[in-house]
Amino acid sequence: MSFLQPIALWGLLLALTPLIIHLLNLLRHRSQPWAATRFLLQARKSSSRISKIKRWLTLLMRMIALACLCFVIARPMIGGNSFFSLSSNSPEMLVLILDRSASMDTGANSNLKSKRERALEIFEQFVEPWPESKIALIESVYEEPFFLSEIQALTDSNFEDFTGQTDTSSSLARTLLKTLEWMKKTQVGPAEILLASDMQRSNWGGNKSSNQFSRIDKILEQKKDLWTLKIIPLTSKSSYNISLRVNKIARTKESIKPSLTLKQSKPTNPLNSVDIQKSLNGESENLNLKISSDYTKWHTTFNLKKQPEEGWGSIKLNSSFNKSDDHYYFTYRKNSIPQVGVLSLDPVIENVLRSAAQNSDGEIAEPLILENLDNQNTTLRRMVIQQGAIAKAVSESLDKFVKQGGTLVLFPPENKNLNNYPFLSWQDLEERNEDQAFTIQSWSKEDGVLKNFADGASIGLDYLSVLKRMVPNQGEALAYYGDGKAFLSKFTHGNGLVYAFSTLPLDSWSTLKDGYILVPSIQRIMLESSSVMDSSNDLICGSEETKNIFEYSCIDLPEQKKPTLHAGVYKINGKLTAINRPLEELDKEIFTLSDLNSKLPNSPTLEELNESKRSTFKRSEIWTSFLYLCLAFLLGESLLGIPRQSNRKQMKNV
Amino acid sequence: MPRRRNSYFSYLDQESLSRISGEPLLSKFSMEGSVSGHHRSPHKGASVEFSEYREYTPGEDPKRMDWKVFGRSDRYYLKEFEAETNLRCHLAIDCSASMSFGEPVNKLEYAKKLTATLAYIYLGQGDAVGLHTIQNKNQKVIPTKRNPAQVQEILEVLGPLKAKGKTNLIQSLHEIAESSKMRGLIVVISDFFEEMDPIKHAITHLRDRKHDVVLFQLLDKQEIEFSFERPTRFIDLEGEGSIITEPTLIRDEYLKRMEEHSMAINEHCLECEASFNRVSTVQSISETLNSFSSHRREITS
Repeated sequence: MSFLQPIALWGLLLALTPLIIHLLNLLRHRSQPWAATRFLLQARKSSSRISKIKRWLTLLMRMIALACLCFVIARPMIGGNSFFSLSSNSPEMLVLILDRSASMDTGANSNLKSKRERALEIFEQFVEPWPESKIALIESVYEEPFFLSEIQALTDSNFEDFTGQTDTSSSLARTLLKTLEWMKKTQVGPAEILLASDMQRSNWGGNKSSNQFSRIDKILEQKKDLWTLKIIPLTSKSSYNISLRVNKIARTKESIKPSLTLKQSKPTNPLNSVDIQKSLNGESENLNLKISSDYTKWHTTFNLKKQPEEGWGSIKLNSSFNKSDDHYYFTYRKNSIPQVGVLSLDPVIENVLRSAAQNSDGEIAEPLILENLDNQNTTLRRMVIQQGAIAKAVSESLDKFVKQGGTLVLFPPENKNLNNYPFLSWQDLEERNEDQAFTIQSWSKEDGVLKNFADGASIGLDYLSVLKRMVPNQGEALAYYGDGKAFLSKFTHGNGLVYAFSTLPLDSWSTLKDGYILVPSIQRIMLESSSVMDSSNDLICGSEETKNIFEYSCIDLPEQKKPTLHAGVYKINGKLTAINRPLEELDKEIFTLSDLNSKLPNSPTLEELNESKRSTFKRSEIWTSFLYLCLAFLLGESLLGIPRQSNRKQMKNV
Repeated sequence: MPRRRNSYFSYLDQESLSRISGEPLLSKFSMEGSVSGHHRSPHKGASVEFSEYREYTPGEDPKRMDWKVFGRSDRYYLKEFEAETNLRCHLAIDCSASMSFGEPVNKLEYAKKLTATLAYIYLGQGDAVGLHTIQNKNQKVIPTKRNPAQVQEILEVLGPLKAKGKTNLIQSLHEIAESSKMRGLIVVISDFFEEMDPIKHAITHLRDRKHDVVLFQLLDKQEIEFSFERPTRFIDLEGEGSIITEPTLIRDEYLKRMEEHSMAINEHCLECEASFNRVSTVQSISETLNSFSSHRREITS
């Protein structure tokens, strides 16, 4: 026998209370002088045996009744379909964990029902034989459990916010863990947990979720006799689909040029063309695009002439296969040379870099104030130039800045260990005297930030003399020293760009300070970053940021959508914001059942739901038996307390 | 001393005296008295109460011959009348420690009042009254006298009496039976917490001596109801040890035993024409004596 609330077994000590009270009463007797002791002795002698048995029986019954009450509270369990369970072998709770990620709205079968709708149907059939069980739903967006009074609520239109289609991603390991922890906290007894998911690998979090998996494993192991976790099979053959993905959006002063990829899945009978709707500030244009059987790359242009300085646009596929992966929203605002922030602890370097980064109006770049790095003004800076030692918190902020689409230009620190970006490391410092200075041998003269000027003149890198250098380890080299090492590297990080110079604009390091290389290269980097679409306002649907938006209005559609659930263009805090689905929802890699089982080594092996094989719980609760026992003993105790009829008559006579 | 004596007079229950003293308390048996009184005598004598006609036997006093009957029938008859005499009332009061039980008035105090009041009543109707204090030691006996000053003497003995020691009731009753040569009224006031058989023997012994036996069994309310709830240590007043028990568990059995004991004494009294009165000390003395006198009138009428 085991107990769901073993702590209540301490209450068994209370069962001794009647005995203790009895003994205390005996100890606390009062003295009474008495004349008729003769009759007392006779009475005690003749009634002692029955009375003693009666008294001890009464005490025993009280103690057993209390003990039974403690057992009721402790919720005892015994194995299998026990006679003592006195109840139907129904689970106490039926729990549906619903993956509402965008990919769940891909057609699951040849019919038009999505995987999400199919999952709800299966769950509805699943709960039918257990009308007494409580039904709980936890979906992947809000991750809050709530009870359903009736199963029909699942398909009710009023319930759309919790069961309907979304453009979100999901973190199933986290949702599953939250569900199990909630069930553990609320001390749920026997339960059937169904996980409805298309098992997209990106939804399971990879290595980042290892801690969550170990906690899930631990709980499932503890509750292995009580809870069964099963997966609703939704990864069956997928039907035809066509999806749209925006790779890059270039922005010029008068146009926006998105670069897109269209992908046809299951192209046994591929389409040759697809209808596309382009919208700019509410004005739509329909196109028919010829597509290939697999991937199709497509570039289009949104002309901003005669358009307001700030606005929004969208691209939609007119297909009815999956509404979650056929659209893209963007916003734009006034295009300008980006603000540049300079961060260096050396005032000479800082001055040189700020001068090199002056804008078209002749204003030199601002020094970057560390305290402001995290606030919103800083996110508007499109470019940051950084040199020297850097704190970990600052490097993390700059990492986030680059990932969001910013451009970071780095100069080497005095010591290679002084700054440690997660995306860049430096080689050891190398020094030479003036006679043997490092020189640049080759660079890209046709393209990039070191290309020749418009009149064909070279940028003059062959005149650069480098006495000290610290070469970056990452990125594609744009210019090489004579020994083949990179003078300037470039690489993408997230949505942004990182440039890394290998020397400093200091006399002791190089002649970079002279400016004939530094100024044009920095200015060209600034120009390049300005052509990147400013998407700092844009958000990912279902992200934590969208969950905290409470005041908004939907711009792209007249009906009200929610930024937490649906992609679209919203006005949030007076600013136009494009909210798009997470790109990882297009990944097709499956997290198989065996992958999941390998992550949960100590738990019972997870299986897919099989309608013909319903769970029979290995253990069932028998608290009802103890409740009846408790009542029986209390009744017995009361019966023992009733005086015998003959005694009652005698008392009446007296 | 006068003050002390005055306080003893409080043992005389005024209410009882005012209610009962009008009518004599008679004995249902004939008594052997020394002077004339209200009670029947086994002897014939001069009285207004006619008894019988009896044929004259030569040698008898011719003065008692009924000449009117001789004139009518020409035969000699003697006309006889009932002799009426006084009685000797022996009041026996149990002074064992068990009599000290009871609240607000203990049984001994109640017994003293009852004894004193009875003594006054009997002396008032011309009977001789004596007192026996039944104690383990230092028993006191006041011989029967019909002098009204006897009340004073009895009160002087009753006043300082204290309940102590083990009971000597049975032996004392046998002694009273043996010591009283002439038939009389024996009033025993006790709780009778004794073995049943010795009590029966003592009553039978008294009755065999032709005494009119009246028993007053005094019981306290607690002894009758036994209304204790909590576990209690009952300490015997006569030094027989103590018992710790739960009264609720033995209450029924105790009441049953107590009732059986009283019933057994009563039944034996009925068998041997003794009178048994069970009295709760909650009752007033006048109620007790009123009930007693009513009963006496019933059986003597």
